[in-house]
Amino acid sequence: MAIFRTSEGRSVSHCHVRPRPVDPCHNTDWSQAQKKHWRKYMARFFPHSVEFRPPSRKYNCFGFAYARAHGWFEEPDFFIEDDFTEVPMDEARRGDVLVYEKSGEMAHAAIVKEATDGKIKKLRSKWGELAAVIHKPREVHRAYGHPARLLRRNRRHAAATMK
Amino acid sequence: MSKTMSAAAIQKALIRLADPEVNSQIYFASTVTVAKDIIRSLPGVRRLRRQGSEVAQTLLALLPRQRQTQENENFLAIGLHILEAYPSNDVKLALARPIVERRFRGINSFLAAETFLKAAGIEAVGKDVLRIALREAKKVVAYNFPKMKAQEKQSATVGVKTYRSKPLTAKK
Repeated sequence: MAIFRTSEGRSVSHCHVRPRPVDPCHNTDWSQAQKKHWRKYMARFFPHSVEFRPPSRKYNCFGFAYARAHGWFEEPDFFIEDDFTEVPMDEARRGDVLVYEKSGEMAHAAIVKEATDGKIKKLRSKWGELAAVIHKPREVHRAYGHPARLLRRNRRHAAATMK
Repeated sequence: MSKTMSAAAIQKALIRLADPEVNSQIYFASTVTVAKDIIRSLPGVRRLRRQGSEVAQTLLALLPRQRQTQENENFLAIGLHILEAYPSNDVKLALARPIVERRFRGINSFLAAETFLKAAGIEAVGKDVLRIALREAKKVVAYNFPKMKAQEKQSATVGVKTYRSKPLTAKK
C-alpha cells in the first residue's frame, strides 16, 4: 500500500486503482456506461439522495471523509486519533465528520454539509464503490449502522490542509 | 430447524445469488466487514452457510476456475464467504493457486485470504491476513502443484511490491 500521513506523521495504508493494484483495490474504475447504470441503481434504493460525484472505485467513504478522496482506505483509526477530536453529537458544524458504526465497528463516515442549531441536517458521503451523495443522517444503507460519533478536525491540521 | 436443501435447491439458491439484481448491494460496502454484513443479508446465504459439505462441493466446482471479472465479482464474494463456513483441505487446496496467481481483486482478495487461512487452520487478523495467506498459499502450491508453469509463477508476482531499486548485478 502507498503512504498517506496524518498530521502527526503516522502513515495510513491505502491503495489506488491502477493496472497492477495493491489489494484491496481494483485494476480499473467503472466505464461511463457502468457509472450511468450504478447511478440509476442507487436512485432506485435511495431516491432522496443527490449525487455530487459519480460512482467510482477509486476511493471509499473513509478516503473521502478523512483524506480528501485520495484513495481507498480500510482503517481510518490513525486519522481519527491524530487529526480529529470527538465533539458532542448535538454540536455539529459544517465540515465535521459523522462516524457510523454497526455492531461496534466503524462502517461508514460522512462529512456534515448542513447543521442547524447543532443538529445535522445534511451530509456528504461516498457509498462504497458507488457515487458520493448528499443525504440525511438516517438515509443510508442499513449495513452502515447508526451515527455513533461526531469528529471535528483539529485546528492545526485544518491549517496545514489549507496551505 | 430448517430442512436440508436438495442439490437442485442449492443450485437454485446459487443462481439467484449470481443475479446482479440480488448481489449488487455489495457495492455499497467500503470495508470487508460491511461487505460481509451485506452478503449475510442476501437471500439464502445464511442457510447455505449451514447446509453442509454439498454446498462446499458445489462451490468448489465453480469458484476456483473462474477469473474475476466485473460480471462475476459479487458472486465470487458470496461464494468465498459461504466457503468460509466449510473449512477443509479441499477448500485450502482449491484457493491456494488462485491466491498465488492473484486472481482475486477488491474485497475478494480479503475474503479469499480469510477463507483460505481458516481452511488451513491458521489464525491471522487485520492487515496480516493478505500477507500471511499469500505466504502460506505459496507453500501449499509449491508442495501440491510442483509443476506450476513458469509463466504462472511470474504472474504470481503481479501486485506484490518489491523495494529493490538497483539491479543485483554488480558493475565491473
